[in-house]
Amino acid sequence: MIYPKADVARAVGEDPQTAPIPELHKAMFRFAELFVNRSWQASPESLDVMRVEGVSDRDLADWLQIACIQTWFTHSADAGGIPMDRDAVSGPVMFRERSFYHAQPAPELASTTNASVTATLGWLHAPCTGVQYETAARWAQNHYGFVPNLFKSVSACPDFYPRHQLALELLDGPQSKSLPAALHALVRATVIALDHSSYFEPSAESLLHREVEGVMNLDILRKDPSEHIRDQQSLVVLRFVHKMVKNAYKITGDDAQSFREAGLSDETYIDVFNTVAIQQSFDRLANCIGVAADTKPLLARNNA
Amino acid sequence: MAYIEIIHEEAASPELKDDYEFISGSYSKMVGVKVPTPQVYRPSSLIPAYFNFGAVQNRVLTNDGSHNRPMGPLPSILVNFAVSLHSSCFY
Repeated sequence: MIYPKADVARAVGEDPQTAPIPELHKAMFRFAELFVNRSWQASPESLDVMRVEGVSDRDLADWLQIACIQTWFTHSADAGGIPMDRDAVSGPVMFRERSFYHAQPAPELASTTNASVTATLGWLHAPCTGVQYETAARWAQNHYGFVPNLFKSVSACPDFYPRHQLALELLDGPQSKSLPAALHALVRATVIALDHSSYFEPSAESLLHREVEGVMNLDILRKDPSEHIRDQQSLVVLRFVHKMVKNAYKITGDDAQSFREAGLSDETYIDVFNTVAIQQSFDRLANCIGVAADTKPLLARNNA
Repeated sequence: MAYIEIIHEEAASPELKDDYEFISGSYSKMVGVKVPTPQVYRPSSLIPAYFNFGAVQNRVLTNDGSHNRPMGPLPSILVNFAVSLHSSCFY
């Protein structure tokens, strides 16, 4: 167990910054808050505070990709309505009691972004070598016609490429017959817009241009969907996307029911929440590493 | 109760069943006793591609179920917990 004493575990659950835990742990919790709530405000200094604690760039690449993956798990639990479960692993592994879980109101999303992203690969050392990287690069070259900066920027810890490859393939288009390609594109682009993902924004604009009729851009998608969406099904879906990106813990069974009442299937619901979860996982990762946008849109060649 | 239909292991297709068995095996090895696939994977079971994606994520996190990835200056599961904490994720 990481925090075997129940009072320490409880203190961490209430406020990690005042809990009697190592400074490195506190620094990681602060970074996790940035990652989850306001990744677009990350800066090179956000990583430097971890380096001061002796963390290597390899470890940073590892943790950021773990956090990226954890985004999918938290969204899956929230969107799926998974109840507190005595069989859940995290509790028995880490704590004796499960009372540490709590809900805090999420901070309002700030619209300001950090302008310190420069025209560099990213803020982590990126060796771009080794068998795992070369395998991933070949896949990307075949899939996109180039190796994306996102792949290069995490090459210090290449263990996660199989996950990223599959995730990007799933983002290529809807995985259910009931979700139209245009609406899938709107879902992705809305997430990218709300996450202020400077890495994915050019790709989102190209995706909208390719799949969506009429005038649509990221500024419009940041607004309340009811201001610009007239189709009832699209309205239900995009309202859900906004809720999931901003306050996933507030999702209830009523949200899933709203899909059904609009004539959408559970498959559509699953396709939407997975698209949001996967896209947001990448947005947070790219924002926190300061990855510069690629010179071409990150869109699969066979979908062009 | 889950918000959507779940396909549990008893009713799973062969493809889904393989992923169920892998995930269950991975967590069973981690905790030292036989445990079923955790609930968090199940909401995607209606679309096998996404359920498989959940399994792939467990594979990369655990080095294909071996749970022998090199550990850095703090346990990697603390990263998982910190993200969940700040997501106010009840799970």
